[in-house]
Amino acid sequence: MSKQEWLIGTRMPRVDSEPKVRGEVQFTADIKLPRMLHAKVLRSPYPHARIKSIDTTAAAALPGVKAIMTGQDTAGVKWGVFRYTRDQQLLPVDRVRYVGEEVAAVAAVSPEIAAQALELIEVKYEPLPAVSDIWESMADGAPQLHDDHPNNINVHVAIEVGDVEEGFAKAHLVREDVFTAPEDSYFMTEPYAVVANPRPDGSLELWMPNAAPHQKAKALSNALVMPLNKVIVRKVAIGGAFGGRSDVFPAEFITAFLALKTRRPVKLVYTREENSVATRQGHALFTTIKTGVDAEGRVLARDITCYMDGGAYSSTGPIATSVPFLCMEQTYRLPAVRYNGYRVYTNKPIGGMIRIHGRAFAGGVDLQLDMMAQELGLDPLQVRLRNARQPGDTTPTGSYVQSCALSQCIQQAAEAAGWADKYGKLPPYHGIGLGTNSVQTGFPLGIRGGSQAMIKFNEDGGATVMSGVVDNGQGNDNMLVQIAAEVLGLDPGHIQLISADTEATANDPGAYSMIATFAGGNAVLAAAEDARRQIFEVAAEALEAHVDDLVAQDSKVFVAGAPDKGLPVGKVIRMALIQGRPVIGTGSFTPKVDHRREWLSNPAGQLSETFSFGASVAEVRVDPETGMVELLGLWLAQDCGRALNPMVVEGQFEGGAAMGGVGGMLREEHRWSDTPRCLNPTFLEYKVPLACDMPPIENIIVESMDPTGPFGAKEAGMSIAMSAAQAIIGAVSNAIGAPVYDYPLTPDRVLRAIRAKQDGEKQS
Amino acid sequence: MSLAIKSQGLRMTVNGEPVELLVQPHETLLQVLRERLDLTGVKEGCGEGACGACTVLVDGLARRACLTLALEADGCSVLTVEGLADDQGLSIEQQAFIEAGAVQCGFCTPGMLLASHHLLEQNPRPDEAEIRRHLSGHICRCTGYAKIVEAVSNAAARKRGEEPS
Amino acid sequence: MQLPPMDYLAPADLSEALAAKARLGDEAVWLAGGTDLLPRAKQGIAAARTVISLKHLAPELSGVRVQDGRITIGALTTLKAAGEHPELSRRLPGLRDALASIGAETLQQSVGTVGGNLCADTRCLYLNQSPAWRAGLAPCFKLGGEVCHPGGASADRCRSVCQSDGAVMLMALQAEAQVASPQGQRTVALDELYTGKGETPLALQADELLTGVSLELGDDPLGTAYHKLALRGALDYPLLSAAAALWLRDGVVSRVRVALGAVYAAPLVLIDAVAPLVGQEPTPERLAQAARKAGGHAEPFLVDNVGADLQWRKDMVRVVVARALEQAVQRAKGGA
Repeated sequence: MSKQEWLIGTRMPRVDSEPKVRGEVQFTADIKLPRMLHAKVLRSPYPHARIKSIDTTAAAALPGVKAIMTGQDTAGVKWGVFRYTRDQQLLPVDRVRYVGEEVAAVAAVSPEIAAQALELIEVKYEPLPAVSDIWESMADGAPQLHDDHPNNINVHVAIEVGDVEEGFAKAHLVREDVFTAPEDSYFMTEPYAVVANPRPDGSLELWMPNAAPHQKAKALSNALVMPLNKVIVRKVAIGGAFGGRSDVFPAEFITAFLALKTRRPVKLVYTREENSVATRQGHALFTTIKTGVDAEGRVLARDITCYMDGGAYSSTGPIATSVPFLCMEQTYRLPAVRYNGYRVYTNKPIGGMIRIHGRAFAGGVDLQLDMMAQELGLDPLQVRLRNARQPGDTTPTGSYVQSCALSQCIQQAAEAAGWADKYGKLPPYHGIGLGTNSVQTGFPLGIRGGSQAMIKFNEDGGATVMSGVVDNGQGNDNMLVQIAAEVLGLDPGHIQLISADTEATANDPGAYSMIATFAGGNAVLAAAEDARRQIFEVAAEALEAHVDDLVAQDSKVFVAGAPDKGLPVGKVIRMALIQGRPVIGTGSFTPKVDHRREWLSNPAGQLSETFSFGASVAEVRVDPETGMVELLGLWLAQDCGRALNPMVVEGQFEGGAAMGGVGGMLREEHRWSDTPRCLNPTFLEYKVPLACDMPPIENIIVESMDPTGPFGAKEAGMSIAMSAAQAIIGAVSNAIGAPVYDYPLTPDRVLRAIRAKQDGEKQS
Repeated sequence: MSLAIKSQGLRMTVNGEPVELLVQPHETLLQVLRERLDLTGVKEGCGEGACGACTVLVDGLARRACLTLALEADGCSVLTVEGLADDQGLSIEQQAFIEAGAVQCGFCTPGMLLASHHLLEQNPRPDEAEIRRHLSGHICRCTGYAKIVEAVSNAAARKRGEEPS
Repeated sequence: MQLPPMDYLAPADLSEALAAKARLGDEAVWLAGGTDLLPRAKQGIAAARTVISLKHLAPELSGVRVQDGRITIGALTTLKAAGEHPELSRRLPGLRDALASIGAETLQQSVGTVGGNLCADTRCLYLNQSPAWRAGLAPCFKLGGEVCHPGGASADRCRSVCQSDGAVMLMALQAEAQVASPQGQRTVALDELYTGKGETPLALQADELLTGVSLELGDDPLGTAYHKLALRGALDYPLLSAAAALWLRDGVVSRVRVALGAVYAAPLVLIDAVAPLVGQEPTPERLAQAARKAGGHAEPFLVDNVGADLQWRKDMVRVVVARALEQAVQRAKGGA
């Protein structure tokens, strides 16, 4: 951008906030349609069983019941993110693989009657032996969950770059450690819900909290065998996603199926428990990391083996198994690396991608660096800076890094936290730690394309922006409006946004995996620039000026420096209409990546167009008797490229630190019975942090001005969610003077580490 | 079964308007507000009283609508998020939430706003710890609470006729 | 989440309420704030054919009275009103802290009542779940079955635990419950009110209502403390808690009681562990010794049925008892 922006970079209040504070926005469960039916789902009480028979006679006879469906009605239609991972029947025909899996569904005139009908469905099961953890599951002779996956290995990602053994041989110091964590979960505040409405023209409208309306529509079009333009996913307010709304679930298939069958609208609203067990959960991880460094702490080689508990089905398997590795190969320079990632099936709910996917991976990489720094007598801060990714680098698997301010993030976070005065100088049980991370920005995943946008104008000079980008709560609607308003010189109030509606808006990759601003924002930027060019062409003739000399500001077009002689945009629009050259701006953006790259068969080449980087510092005090951790402060620095709206970016930092650090690293985990049932599927027992649990936070926005991001922007918050978690591991380990390998850092785990250290000291 | 149980009359004032209807005893205030009165700003996030999204004020006190039998509110005055703004416009709390960036996905927002309103009615000068404590029955997964706390602090100042610091 | 169909009465006063309950017996349950009853009713583990709302009884059954060395708290006193009562909070900071740790502040002011907390049912991660969650598991002792899932094959009874913060502290204070029925009032020590049976934790008759709780402050300087372990600063039931009430005379312990929460179906009173403190100066060594003994006594009661590592909870008994005792001593000596 050659000139100074007037709206980009300002703390503009979000355009969607007024309807939200008024309580007027509609979330899916708020939708009410004439003749609407209510659906409920019957779920498996067994972790693994054959369905011998389902008798729905009594349920069907209950007055008010309008339709019942079982797997037998569906021809066993399957879902999987990739063709080669299509392993989940959207309603199982003859076998269930986890407690909570869908078995049958009812549509009735009220939720109460639907619930009563479920009790009348008689299912005969033949329970099968089940596996509840990865070791049991991989053992020879274990019950097999799926054919063609010996030892229940769903996915194996194998990457090797450089000479790893030579790296270890040359290393001054080599360490190998194991890091573990159980499943974590999204706990977005809105429970999952779907409304499906069959329309007289043969199309089907759907509303659900989603992170990619076009991806949902495509999957449903395949499953329902309907043309894609007849499956319409509508815009609706969405109560958070965090990675847990991007995949396709049986819920939308069931609701759509029941709606088509009854020719009536159907609504399905999940309970909190169903949201926890029957959408997605994070993966449990077991990661072995071996690293060799030279005497200055520079990493020479790393060998990582990670086992992930994927639950009963593939979901995003190949991606989920790769991303924790990719984040860390981006973060630090690595001359030689080997990675073996295994995603393992178990009889548990399905694992998906989550905001801090891989806490026992990234956390391990950073903690191990701390430990090696200590052994070498080096400051971990210096070791981080020595290994930090630099702009112009290429990652081991072949991605060019076009912008990167990781070193600045590390330095600024450390400086703000007072690292130099604190590291190694704090009293016992008081510690400080540093975490760094990087995420992909503009990342097609092999399953999605770019984003397209269109802008049309009204005769009063107002504009309507059309974009497929969805807003899960992070502020994407505002981002699109802010970009368009900036370029067109219009007040944001004069821009109407149509977004995330697959009937009205063109294709978009979805607002997950850090692409919305980069691709969707760039598409709207291109459309706005296209529209502005057309407006200038008309105005230039009227003003007898050159197009290049014009500016658009305050709803007027004028020659730079002469705003009083301008034309209102509305007038230019009317002139264009009369002259037969109506203004309509279009734009698209597709991230430049190497399309030959594939998750399993060819993990090499440009992965993502650009990458964001973050560093966090945490300071903690540990109660040595209980193991309880008190978080004293978080300093969060991220290279987000450019902060389009610093207020929104800070919100992503603070929310990321809450979910990744304060929740994800100190409290959050799923607990299991031996059957295995999820013991804490609710807000009462799953420990999402509260306002009183949050420490003081300092946000540090670092702007590297990405060469191809919209106004230089990349993504905001993901590298913070991750690095805050890593920083807390470092701080707690620093406080107790011993590494903690098992996460989250609940008091029992911290206390065990303290005692292991004390036992070790006694012995030596 | 439900057939044996008689509906009972419920009279209350909701957002200043008198309401009279027949309800089943097991209907919760959440169900009546959302399903009968279409006040869908009252959100159900958990149904067990943990998340706070369904918070409404009953005779000025914060209650979980999901854990309140509708009949318990008989004769009471109920305030939902829809009743916070008036003809003059948004309430001070609503305005402060917008300006501070305290709203992300917006699902917890109605409950947060009512809890904030409740706090400021009782305590015009809450310090940060008091704000955090008062909001700690409400789960927000998006914001990390920082901007919500800031918004409540700003709203308190504005209600006192001061400029937010 | 749906409630099952139920009938509803809202009697105008205590006598009307007691008459209704006497008529309906076990078919009816009392409804105060509903934060314990209604989630259980939704989970299908509360037999609530009829609920009798106590909302009109609040004027009769609310309030804190301090008289003749006794503190009496009406059952419908809100947690906040009780905890912030100037005299109560000055004389019983341990009770103030316990009440302030329940649920969340907004709930303490409206729906959380002292009586409700005292009568809250015992809890277990295998019990407080939806019917769909429990489907496929045999009914447990609490639900009329013959297994205890967290207790394992050898368990012969329900191992659900009392997680009522207020009850634990009031148990340490040797409080008495006031109970009303159509036959009149009776007083029952909390030691008697709590049966210790997870299946039926409260010794109340079908026609009785807990109307209040009272306790003797004693003549000697009293220190009270409540130490609770939870992963969050609000909303959480205790993973483990300890309440201590300790009276000092001339620097020597004249009386002491310690109770544990989240260990047993009743607040678990530790008698033998703290008995040696009586007649002694409460030195750190003696307190630590009592806490160690407490850990040993409590350990067999614990099973893995609340949301924390079992071994950690076992190890923490010593710590929470020590902390509660230390703080109680400080307070008895006039410290904060």
